[in-house]
Amino acid sequence: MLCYLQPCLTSLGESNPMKRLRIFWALLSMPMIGLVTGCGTESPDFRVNNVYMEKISRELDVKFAGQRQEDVYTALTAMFGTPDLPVVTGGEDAGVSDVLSVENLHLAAGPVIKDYEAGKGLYRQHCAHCHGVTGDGYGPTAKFLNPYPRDFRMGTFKFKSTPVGYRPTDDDLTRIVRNGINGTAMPSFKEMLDSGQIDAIVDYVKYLALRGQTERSLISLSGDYGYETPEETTETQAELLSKEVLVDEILGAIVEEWTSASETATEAEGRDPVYDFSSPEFDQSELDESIARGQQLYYGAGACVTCHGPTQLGDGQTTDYDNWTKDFFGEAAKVADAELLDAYLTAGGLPPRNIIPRNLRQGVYRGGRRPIDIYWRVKNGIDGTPMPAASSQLTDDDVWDIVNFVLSVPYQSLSQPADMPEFVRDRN
Amino acid sequence: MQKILLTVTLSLMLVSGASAQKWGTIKGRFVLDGDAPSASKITVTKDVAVCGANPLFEETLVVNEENKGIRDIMVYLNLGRNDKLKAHPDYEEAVKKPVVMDNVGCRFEPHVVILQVGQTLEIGNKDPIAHNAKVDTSSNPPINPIIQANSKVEQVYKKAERRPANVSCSIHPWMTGRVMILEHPYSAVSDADGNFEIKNLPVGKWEFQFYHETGYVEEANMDGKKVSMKRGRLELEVKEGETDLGELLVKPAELK
Repeated sequence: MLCYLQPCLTSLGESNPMKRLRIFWALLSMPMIGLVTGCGTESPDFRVNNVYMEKISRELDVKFAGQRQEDVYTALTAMFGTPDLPVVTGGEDAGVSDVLSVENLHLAAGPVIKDYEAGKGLYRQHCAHCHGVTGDGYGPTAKFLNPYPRDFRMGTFKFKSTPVGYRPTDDDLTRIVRNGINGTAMPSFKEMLDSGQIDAIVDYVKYLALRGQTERSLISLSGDYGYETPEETTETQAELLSKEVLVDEILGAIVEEWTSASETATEAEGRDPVYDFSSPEFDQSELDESIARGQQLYYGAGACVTCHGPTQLGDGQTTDYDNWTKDFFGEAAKVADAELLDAYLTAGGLPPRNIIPRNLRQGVYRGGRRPIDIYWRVKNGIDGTPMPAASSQLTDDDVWDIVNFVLSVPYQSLSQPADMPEFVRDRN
Repeated sequence: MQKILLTVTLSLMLVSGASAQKWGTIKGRFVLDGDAPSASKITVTKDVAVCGANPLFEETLVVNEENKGIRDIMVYLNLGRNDKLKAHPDYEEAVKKPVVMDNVGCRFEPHVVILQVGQTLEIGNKDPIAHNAKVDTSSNPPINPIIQANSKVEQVYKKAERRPANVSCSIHPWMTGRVMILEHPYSAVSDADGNFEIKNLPVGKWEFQFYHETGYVEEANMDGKKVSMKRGRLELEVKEGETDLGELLVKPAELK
């Protein structure tokens, strides 16, 4: 029978009527009942978000061990299933079909059983060793990589066309899977996977993000409820674990963020052809002027110099942290607090690392090297990082000037000193 | 509980007619029940010419040295999930005015603000240097715009937040603040003397939430009695006219 339902079924013997009702709802709403899976090998489970529970328990002075945690994860399993059998219960009501296709999830999910069964278990075959089965960026290789693999559970992605605070579009995620991320361990999959398989992986990443965001919402919300007496527990469960809260309120709000993502994408007018080498109208003097204006803005109104440094080496501000770290340590990023750091590492967080502004002299651009990619980084800022959006007082032309300047920096004499001997490879 | 209370309130309203709604004001003063901690000075590492002009201090816990009043404790009405409330007509105009949080001398002034859904948050920059305001809301999309010298950015929030959101500036890492967004106007932030006042509440019993940057305030001493406030919540009766809670003594351990 369904091994993964075992804990649920066992708890049906529960005497608390409220809890029985809740589990009943959970079971009823699992559309995959009737599917039979092999019970021979142990399937991996999603990892519990201990770091976030530790954060909320510190913030609100509540304990997550026991009923509070059990309720969060019973609800989460009922809503999202397991790594082998992903579902989005209540997804219809919440409009999840606009975000992902459940069929795609089944292509991407599950174990990699046989080599010749191509196109199944894609996520575990290609992604899980870095991003983890849970999408928490804590796969077996994570510790050895710098930067760490992305943790999808906040729903925050850095390299995208939408402003800070908005979800990425399908195109954004597809671009990353296809092209990889230059300067990081994230490889390109465009030669290895066909577009249908990449779509399936993108949908699965969104599923893991939806699940992770829901998990965080549930943990955070549950912290505001009481579990001290049986009456209080019953009252809490009746409200917290109702369809109104789980589906209409929590999942509905998260799904809406994702469905509205493409509307928020920043459209940029095509770059002026005089800046484009490949255009017949290309005019070097126009480009030089644009670069000079961009340089002024870099040091002035753009405020780029504060972090990327006076010589663009990315050394203006090197002690900050990204949001995945600040989520636990707070905006002041009290990483130096030994007790706090210990609690974070014990809960399973990866050792915090500073986020370093990009060294613009290297010409390695993680979010892509097309002018439009740099435009998005400057115009919108980089989500989850200290990189802010350009001031609203800068015009689009100003932003393009900054883009032109940034793209010119690796070719400046400072980056490539003239008196440096040419590198000649010795060949035998 | 809240639901029952609301039902009672509603039926009372029906009996007496909505126009006869009575209003009351609630006020009090947060006082530290212990020695005021000495403010720790911030080492300015960036834009020293501007930010280092005046000494800057950590503002997580600010206690008035003379009267021990605690600044920046948020007090707001905590509505139950299905509760509806009709605010006093005086508030209709208030929501149209923006709530201002300025960057002044490389700190956020005020340090803590509360606004209503639909109200504009105006983040100004009165300094001669650029700042950015990273507002990490969770129910609303977070923002992180650069604010040039002597300019401002505006943001309208569409949803209420569950808990106050962090505000910070990535350029000047010591700069922090808090923003809370509520679906009603009934809130206050204690001033430099620890005073707070919420005007024109509908008369009756309401649950209030007490929040300080260090977490919910879960215990206070009122009128010589220890009052325990689970998860920072306390039910209070709002009477017609003014209800003065007097001094709410808070132990330093509550604010850690």
